[in-house]
Amino acid sequence: MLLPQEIFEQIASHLTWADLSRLSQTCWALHEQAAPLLWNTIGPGHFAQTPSTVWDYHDLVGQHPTARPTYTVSKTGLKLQLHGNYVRNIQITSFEKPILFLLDRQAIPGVNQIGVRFYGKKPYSDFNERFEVGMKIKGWRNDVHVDFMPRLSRYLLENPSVSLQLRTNDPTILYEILNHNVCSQVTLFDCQLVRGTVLFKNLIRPSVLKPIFICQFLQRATNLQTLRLAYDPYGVLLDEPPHPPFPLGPSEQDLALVFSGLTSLQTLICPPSMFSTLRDGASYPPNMRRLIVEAAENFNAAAYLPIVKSMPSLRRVDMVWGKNSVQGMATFAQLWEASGAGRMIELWQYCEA
Amino acid sequence: MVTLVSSDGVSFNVDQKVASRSALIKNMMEDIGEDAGEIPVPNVSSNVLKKVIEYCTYHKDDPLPQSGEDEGTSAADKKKSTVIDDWDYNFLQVDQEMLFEIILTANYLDIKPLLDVGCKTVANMIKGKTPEEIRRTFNIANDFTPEEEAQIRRENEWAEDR
Repeated sequence: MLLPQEIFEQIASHLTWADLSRLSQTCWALHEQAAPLLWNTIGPGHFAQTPSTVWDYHDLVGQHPTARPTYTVSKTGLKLQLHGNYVRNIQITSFEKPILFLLDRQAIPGVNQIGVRFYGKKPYSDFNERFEVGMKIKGWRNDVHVDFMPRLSRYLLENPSVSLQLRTNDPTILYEILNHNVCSQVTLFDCQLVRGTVLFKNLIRPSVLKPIFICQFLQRATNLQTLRLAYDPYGVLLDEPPHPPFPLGPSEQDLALVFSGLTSLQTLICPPSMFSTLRDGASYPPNMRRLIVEAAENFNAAAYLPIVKSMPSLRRVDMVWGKNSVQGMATFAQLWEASGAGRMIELWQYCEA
Repeated sequence: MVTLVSSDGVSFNVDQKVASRSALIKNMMEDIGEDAGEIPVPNVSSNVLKKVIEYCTYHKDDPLPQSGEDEGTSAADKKKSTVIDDWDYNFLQVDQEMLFEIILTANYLDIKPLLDVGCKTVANMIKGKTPEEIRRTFNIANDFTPEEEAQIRRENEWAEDR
């Protein structure tokens, strides 16, 4: 039944994701036709097309699980494997009415990750007004949803394949989360680690959040497998200069302790500015296998080489939206070969589809 | 009248209004003028062309779809509308080879309503079926290894309605 792709797509337009998924599981030829539709077309609102759900989802980002590495670097040389520009996975970083979702666990088909973004209150009032549609739990403490966390925790414990992506900079919520210790993936919102000091941008009320909280959180987050240090992509306050490091912030030694204690951490997602810390910190999560660099403008081979060498467990570096990465990756491959490291590192680059 | 000639050399005398259901032929007739004469349809065999003409004859008085009409329709709307008229449903009760030939011809001749109803028919044959049922329906050989099949099932798990 092989048909031209444009006709296949017209047929697929009458199918649900589930139907299309099953069609893609019949044979390789149909898989090749269906996979781009399954993975490349997911975007804001697309989930609403699934008839079994009425949810309005948005902010779907991620990676295609079968994307191929741009380069595979090994002792035996450099292999070029251009991948198919797939940049999709299911990560819902915010969604509407999570309370209702958690009351009806069957409401979201196939979700393998729950993203919850907690908005602050007064300091972020403009932000709330602009993005109110994204989240109804603003005002965590005053809006009473006191049973949300236990409910979420129970859901996560009963569904171990579902991970939680948390975006917050509210210490109350962090404490709630760490008390339940159910996070396998955390996005710390609007923070970065700069030369051994946790630095938070956008803090209007510094007393609300102290970097030491983050360290305490990380120290206790023994299940944490993925840590993302992210900027707020919608941040209305991003133009503000960063606040200086807090005087009571953790020392470099504290940070080294925190990092070396993250024994479950396998993936670190961070912006390029993180590398100053990685270069200087000389302490890394001992089992980290994957480093994902977001918003990478280029791939500075000389800068990455010592970092990669210092992390013996690291097997893969991903450059997401790396605009000028390819040449840097080729340079890195040569340097890596010349360094005699003798360990294979995959370098992946994601491009806009 | 216009004469359509199939790939196997069979001629069909067709009313211009009927032939105009095909945007491709309509454009050709407009380009050539009144003396269109014979129009070859080289990619379509006579048995398929006969079926397509039957469809166009039945629907000759339907309003023609406007150019780009589909583009204005949201994907969500498309998904909802898999209902097929009785006549069209019966018309497409043919063997699969013929069904796919009709779809390909509708695409080639640019007969959007026929293409659409053909695609809906195939979609309805797929809906709600397991991969194995789809394979049986379309006589597809499973060329996955068990490991590959399991891997793809895992990757696609998110799409399942549960």
